[in-house]
Amino acid sequence: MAKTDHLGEFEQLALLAVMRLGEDAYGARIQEELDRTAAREASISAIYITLTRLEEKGMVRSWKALPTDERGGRARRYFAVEPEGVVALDEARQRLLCMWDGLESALDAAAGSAGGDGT
Amino acid sequence: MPERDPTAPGPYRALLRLFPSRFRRRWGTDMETVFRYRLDAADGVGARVAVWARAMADVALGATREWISLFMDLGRRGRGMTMGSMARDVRYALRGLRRSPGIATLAVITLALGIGASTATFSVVDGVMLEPLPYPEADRLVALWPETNSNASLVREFEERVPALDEVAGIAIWTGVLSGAGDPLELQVGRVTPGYFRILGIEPQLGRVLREEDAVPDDANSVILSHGLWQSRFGGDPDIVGRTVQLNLDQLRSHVVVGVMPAGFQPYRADVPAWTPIPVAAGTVAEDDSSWYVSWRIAKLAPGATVEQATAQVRALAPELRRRLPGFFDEDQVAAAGVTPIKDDLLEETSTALWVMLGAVGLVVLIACVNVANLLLIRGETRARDLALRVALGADRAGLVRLLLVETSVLAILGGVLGIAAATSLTDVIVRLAPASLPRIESVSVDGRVLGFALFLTMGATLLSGLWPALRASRPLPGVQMGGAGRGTVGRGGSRRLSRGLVALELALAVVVTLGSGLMLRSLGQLLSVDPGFDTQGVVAFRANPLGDRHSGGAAFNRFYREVVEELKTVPGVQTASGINILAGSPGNWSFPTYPQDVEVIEEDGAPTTNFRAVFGDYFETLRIPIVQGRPVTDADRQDTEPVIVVNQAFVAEHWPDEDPVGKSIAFFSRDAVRYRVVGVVGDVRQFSLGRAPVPEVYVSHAQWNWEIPAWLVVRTIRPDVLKAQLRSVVDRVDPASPIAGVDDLQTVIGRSAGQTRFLALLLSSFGVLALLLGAVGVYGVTAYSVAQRVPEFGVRIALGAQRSEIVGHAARSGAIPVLTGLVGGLALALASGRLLRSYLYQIEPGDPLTVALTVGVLTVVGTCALVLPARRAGRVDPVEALSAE
Repeated sequence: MAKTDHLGEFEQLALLAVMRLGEDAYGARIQEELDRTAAREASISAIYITLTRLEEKGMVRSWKALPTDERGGRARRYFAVEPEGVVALDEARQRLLCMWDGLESALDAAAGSAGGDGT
Repeated sequence: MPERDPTAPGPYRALLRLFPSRFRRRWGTDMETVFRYRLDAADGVGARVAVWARAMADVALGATREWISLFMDLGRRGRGMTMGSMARDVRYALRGLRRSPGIATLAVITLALGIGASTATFSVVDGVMLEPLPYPEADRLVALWPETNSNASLVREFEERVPALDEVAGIAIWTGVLSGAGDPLELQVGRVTPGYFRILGIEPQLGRVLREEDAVPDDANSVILSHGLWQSRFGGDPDIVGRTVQLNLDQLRSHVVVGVMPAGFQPYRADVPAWTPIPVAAGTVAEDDSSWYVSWRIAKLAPGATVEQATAQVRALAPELRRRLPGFFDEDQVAAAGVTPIKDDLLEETSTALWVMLGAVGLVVLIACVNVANLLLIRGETRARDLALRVALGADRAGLVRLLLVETSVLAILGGVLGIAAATSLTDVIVRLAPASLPRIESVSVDGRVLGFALFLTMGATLLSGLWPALRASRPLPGVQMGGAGRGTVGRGGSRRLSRGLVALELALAVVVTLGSGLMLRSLGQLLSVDPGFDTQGVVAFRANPLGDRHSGGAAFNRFYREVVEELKTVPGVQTASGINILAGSPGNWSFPTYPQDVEVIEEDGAPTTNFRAVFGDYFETLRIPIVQGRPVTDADRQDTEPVIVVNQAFVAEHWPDEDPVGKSIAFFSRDAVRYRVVGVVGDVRQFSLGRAPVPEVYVSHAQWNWEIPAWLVVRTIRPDVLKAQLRSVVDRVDPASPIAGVDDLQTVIGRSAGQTRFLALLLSSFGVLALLLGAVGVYGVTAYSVAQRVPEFGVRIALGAQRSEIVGHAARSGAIPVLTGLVGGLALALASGRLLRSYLYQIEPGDPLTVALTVGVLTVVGTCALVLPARRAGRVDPVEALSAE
């Protein structure tokens, strides 16, 4: 691969959600995780569309699990992040950290003065 | 086959079909499960509705994204999207279209008709409804209660006592005469309180707008001119400000020009060439202000105030006003107190009509697209071999889809260009046909937004009509197409089914549009056949205005009109001549609080109101209004004789249903005012419009009612042309300084009240004809194609001894099924949607049996013709030729 595809923001969030959920990563749970942790209300089709893209890029894999007892026991599709996905996530993180480098103090100062106005 | 979640609701599963099958197969089950889970978790009806709403939005957006990316993918993977390959596709497309010029021409014309009609309609809807009003801060401008008249002091009181309103102005329209420098000119003058121009926020081109000091009585002689009047009457004189002009209005004879408004100024409710202030003395309160002629009020919301706040505050004030001003506002009016954004106020009656029009034309576009899709499907069939050859030579499906879509785009662009050209002239026609009552029609034009709409439509038409046929035609069906021609394409029987389904859909839509236009036409017919209560045939109406210096005072006015009537009677052909202050069908009304004898009037509830008319000459004879009882009022009933009055039948029915009205008396404005003795009863006439039932009305003698109000003259003649040619010289013999205006046949004046219905009927019926035509083309195309495909089969049948008539019947029958399905489905759809039209229908129900029967009849005849014409060709098949071709 000549060059890793850059991840969009939502792709990063989706990958992270899948990683956080571990063995429990399926559609509805991913949606809840995004809502709870990232305060991001994503539609189910947006999630599936994104995960399909990521799967095509080889960053996640999915499989159908056997029916469980709960909720009528339908088979559902689970996701896991592939090594390529982890690499891409790490690259994205590094890029962001580089951009942040040296700006933390400026951010602290800005936040401090904003807080100061309030008091 | 993917397994399904049996517990997921069917409608959601159906919704998922919007996704490409690849996506649906993969995720459909999971999405159903998630949906079921959310629906189960939702508590209460509201939450469940929210889940459904969100799911629908989600599927719509997601499916669109997925389809777009699918095609981007196809394009990318196809051959690499370069300008070069694009150009090659366009060249192929043009070559391909040249090879079947019939289908290409039909498709282009169909699209041009659809795009042209809808773009023109959209330009009207856009100009009238969607474009913002041309005032800064237009969203803060509101129309203010009441819907009846008020006076200028009441306007000021609203301004002072309603905190949510910054400034309030009152508006009225009067008639004046401009004399000096050229022929005397009758013109409408806006009487406004000084805040009017400040509220609209439009600066004058010259001078200044009105100020408070302009409204001081005895000194209220300022006038503001429109750009048009300034140009036409004063030659655009740059020193006009400060000049005195002879504008006779009420008591005032001369006015001083203080300002000129810029060109293009659109005055709210007062689109007239001049504006003067309404005089109000300082300290006047609503109770003793006589300026009750203020017809409309406009206000500006205070910064940050909302329509709801202003409405609440006005509503809180209304009961007090009703108490203080007995007889003016009844309970219903108090309940309706409030403010309305001026755009809603202006468009009140129009917006539904325009949406109905846009809806109808939308259906026409849909029919056009379905038609083109059908033509392309047929074309796709005939090109099966060509496409198979391309596949054999290594073309992939994406490339084929793209090629076919490029073909459709070429058709759509040609259609779009023709359509826009048609729309430009069609818009002009629509604007010219529009009734004067259609507000803001002057802002209608084919501008950037309209062109954007046309472009959007063209692109939509490409996708809508091209995608499906392209996907079908490019479907890989190995080993079939290369073989032979004709029905060798058996593998595509689904295509024929689809094609018939499209014809059914097309006809169903055509039924909806045609039935709608049929209803409007019948409604118009009903309206125009209403008996207005008088005979308009051979009656010419016009206004003569004696607002000159010679005619000061009511008696002088009456003398002027009687002299004009006498002169009119000398014109050859004239049978009778007379006049009235407010002619039926003309704008304006006098409606006064009435105190009929023996009728108890409770002041608190407001006195009943009655339309008040003053007549001179043989008015009832001229219009052939029947005298039901007693005698009419005449010119012999003067100020120095007993006050007498004539009432109409509606008045008797309302106030004295079981009594003899003749001899009873009526007072106006107050119980103790002058009482008029009823001397006769006349037939009812429809005063406002043909569609409105007659209301209680009274007539006094113009000679007895001493007001300086310009009147209409009505003349019954057997030679209307002679009369019209001589009108000016007739009035000149009485007073050359008096302008005449509004010369027209009474029939035309009355007919104008049906203007909106006529306009809507005209547009809808053109759409109806268009829909019918397109539907017929669809049926014809599919039947003709199916006949052509089955030529060998028919050849065999004929060779085996089948009668030619049997063959024709057989060919027609197979095409009849979609026609029948479309008719039945369309009828159900039309009846369900007919309610939208109800408020525009006069004395006819949306499901009117005669209209339904006529529509079905017309569509059946057209459909049958479109079926039989190509089917007859099946009977003419020469078996030898057909079989040798095989």
